[in-house]
Amino acid sequence: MLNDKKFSLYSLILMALMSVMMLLPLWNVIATAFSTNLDSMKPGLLLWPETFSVEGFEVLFNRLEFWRPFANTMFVTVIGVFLHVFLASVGGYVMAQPNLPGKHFLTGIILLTLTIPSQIIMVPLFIVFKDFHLLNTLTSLIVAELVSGFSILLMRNYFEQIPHSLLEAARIDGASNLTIFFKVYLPLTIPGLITVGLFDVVRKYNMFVKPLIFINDPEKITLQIALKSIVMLDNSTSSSDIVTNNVVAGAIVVALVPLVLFYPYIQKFFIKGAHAGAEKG
Amino acid sequence: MATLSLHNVIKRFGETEIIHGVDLAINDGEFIVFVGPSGCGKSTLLRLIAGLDDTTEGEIKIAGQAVNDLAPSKRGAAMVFQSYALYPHMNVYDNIAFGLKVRKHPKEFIEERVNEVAEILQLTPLLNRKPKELSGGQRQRVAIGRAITRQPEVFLFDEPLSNLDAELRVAMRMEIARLHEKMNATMIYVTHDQVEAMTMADRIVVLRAGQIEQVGTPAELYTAPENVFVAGFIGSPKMNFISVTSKEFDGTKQTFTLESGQSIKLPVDSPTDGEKQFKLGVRPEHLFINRTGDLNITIKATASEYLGENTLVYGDLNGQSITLKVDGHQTILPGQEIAASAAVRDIYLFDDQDRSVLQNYRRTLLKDALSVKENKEPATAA
Amino acid sequence: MVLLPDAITSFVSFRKGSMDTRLLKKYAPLYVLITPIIIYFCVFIFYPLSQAFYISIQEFGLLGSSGFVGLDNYYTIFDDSDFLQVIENTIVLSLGITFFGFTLPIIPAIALVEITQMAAKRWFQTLIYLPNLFSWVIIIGIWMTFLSPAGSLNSVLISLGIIDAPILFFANEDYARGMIVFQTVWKDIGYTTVIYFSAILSINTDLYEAAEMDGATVWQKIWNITIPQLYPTMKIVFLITLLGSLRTFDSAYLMSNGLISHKITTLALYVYEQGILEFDLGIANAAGVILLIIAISLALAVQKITRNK
Repeated sequence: MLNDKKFSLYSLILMALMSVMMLLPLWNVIATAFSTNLDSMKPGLLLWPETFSVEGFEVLFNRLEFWRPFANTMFVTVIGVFLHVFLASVGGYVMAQPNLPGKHFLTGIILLTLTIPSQIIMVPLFIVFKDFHLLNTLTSLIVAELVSGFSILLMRNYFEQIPHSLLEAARIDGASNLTIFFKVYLPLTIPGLITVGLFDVVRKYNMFVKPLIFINDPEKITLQIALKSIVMLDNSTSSSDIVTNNVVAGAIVVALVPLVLFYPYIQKFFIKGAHAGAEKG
Repeated sequence: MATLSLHNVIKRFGETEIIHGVDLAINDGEFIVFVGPSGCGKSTLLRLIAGLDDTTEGEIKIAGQAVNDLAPSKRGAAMVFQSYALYPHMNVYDNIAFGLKVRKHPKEFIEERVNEVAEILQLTPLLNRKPKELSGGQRQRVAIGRAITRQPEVFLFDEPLSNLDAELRVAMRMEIARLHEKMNATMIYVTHDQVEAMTMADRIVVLRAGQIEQVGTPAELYTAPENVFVAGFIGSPKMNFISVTSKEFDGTKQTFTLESGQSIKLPVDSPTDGEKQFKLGVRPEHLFINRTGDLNITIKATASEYLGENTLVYGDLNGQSITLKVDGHQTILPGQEIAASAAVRDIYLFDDQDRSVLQNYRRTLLKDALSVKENKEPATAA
Repeated sequence: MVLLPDAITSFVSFRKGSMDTRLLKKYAPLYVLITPIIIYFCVFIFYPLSQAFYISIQEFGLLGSSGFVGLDNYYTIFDDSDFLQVIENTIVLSLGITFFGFTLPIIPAIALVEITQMAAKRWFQTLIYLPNLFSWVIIIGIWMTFLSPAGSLNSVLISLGIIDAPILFFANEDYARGMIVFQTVWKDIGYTTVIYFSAILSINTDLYEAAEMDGATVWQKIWNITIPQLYPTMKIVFLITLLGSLRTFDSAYLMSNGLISHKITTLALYVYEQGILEFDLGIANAAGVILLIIAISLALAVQKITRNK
């Protein structure tokens, strides 16, 4: 836009430096993860393992049973995201109906849910979960973010992009609400379903405060909590002397793998979402 | 297939009344066109008939049955939308079949019906394509196909040709007319294009601001418009209006004078006492230059547009703008004075309420024209 | 919280509308669909919220309420110097995160637009956006590894002779707040950059060409066209960043240790400590209500100020 070659070059250099800033600590962690126990503890710049080793991962999986929280998180994420996307699309479909009496009231309720910071209701929510006997269950984590106003509104925006005449055509064709929802609306909002789903995958995968509060049972802790115990060298995880730097780094790398695998899709849809967010204001 | 009637139909959106009590009876198999300027309520009226919007007051009957409280799909009406409203994720076959599928018809029946419709509309080779792989005209035909398959009582078209280019529009116009003939179905067609209205309609309903101005055959609307609005709306370029003053009545005809002092005798429906203001109407195609007739005016040309076959001349008559449609190779320069004339049978007259006051005379002209046509037709056929 | 005024408008306009029984019947299936969702919100959001208010004016122990105490819990925390420190922490961290979080990303956004090599542009976008997906445990884990006393950065600085002894980034109270601000900005910069980037792309290019014809320099174009055209987006980013920063919890929780926690305990973290760890529910909920009041008043104030501009 500015159309200046020199400026463009400076921009390139600046962004390259910034990318290094983003990448360097991450690279350092990966190099540490693949070092031996001993090498990982030595001072010095570590950008390539001196001796390539998977000792850290062995400790992680064999002695710290890191696969268990991983499986728990997968369970919560898969089931939770599926339900979340389904409910968000149902809610979004209803909210996208033009002329729905009481729509303003429903919109008000949904906007209000977005207005309340979760930390404020943290303590009473804990009591609610206790009353429902959901503490120390993975179900609690699914229930805690079963659906969100944000996702409903996002789906509503996707549904609203479908031309109104299509809904009318389907009505005249004799389709019921359910038929319109499943046969016309859902197939046309697949990008929306994926976006809402991916947002929720990241949210559920990174969920921290809720498992911290709701789960005590070591059998049921989730990935982020297990990772916290290792990174913070909590005494709760057996003997801390076996947790060398390469184990910590290894845990981080393992936790990163699913995100990196999803990243190309996440980037495609999130960045689109961010663009849309900027335009909506 | 079915008659359709509207009784004092009123539509309000909140406080605003959009349709002010419309009465209309449509015969079985008739092709009705709703025409009017944008915002006149023609599309709203169609949507009320379809059931897409709820009628606030009044009654809509299809085939004698009141349908006000019926869901759109239960009214026996099919609609073709301006945007076509094809399901983007379904191929042509599924788009056409959707209405039958949701009604749970047997598969063989659906297949037979869809193929039959595809045949009629020459869509057979396109059945596996998605809407985005079709041209505008093809999409239009799919939209029509979707309406036909269900064999509805009434077809509703909401400006279906407005997204097509001029050439295609003519072709589709003919196709819809042919379809109407073939299916002999009741059709209601909304457009703002008077050419579509004139060429396709059995009867035209002219709407303005949520009210019916006139219902009639194309010839009726052209020859005997009931008011200034219809007179101005039908016909292109628009009818010219010249203000005149009423003078004496001689028992059959009343004399009117123009500002220029020229007078003309017209067979009014009923005499007027004293000097009153009237609007004399004359269509551009009925004003001839370099000729004397019953009405003679001299206008000062201000501009002209050469259209090939014709030239449109815009001029001024005592501050009133006048349009003439003259022969193509007439060269007329701005500032030039032109004498133009018209015959009494091409003159329209409206009172200060904008109502036609030559209606009896103009209806006779219409009847004569029709009988001439009827007398002629067997002769040409023989 | 951004949306509170909109929520209010929605309720108000609802009251103006009228309900028609015929329409109700027509839309019945839709209400059936939305009802479970509304019930869910009531049980898991609105009920706990009302409880937060209710408990905050009760003497509340392990066995439940032992009576109404009015605003006593509020007096108690405002008399507590620890709580005042918590308020200070929250404000300082919020200001830091908001200021850097909403200004810094403008620079990479402008730079990204000017880069002509498409592949490089895509790669930079990919790289700087990546940390946004990381959980706070991962972020802190990465930086603790990189900045540990025997870690890469300290080792390099020592071997270059810049410092004699390793810097204790995570155990020095002077660095504590800075570390939270730095890591928050590092996590969010990619996201905000993308928002600014797309806002810049939507600026009418004719403006730049007109400026070019007028002989404007690159900096003049940035200062006189890009920045002013970004104002509406900056307002939104400012509000989102500010309200997000008020909720700072994960980073403060994870970084807390005996040496620095008094500098970084935020209101949100205080609610957790008092409510979940100490089980002093009255105090915890009073603090929660104060957080809600601060957040809502700031949101309304910011919206009012920016709307008037």
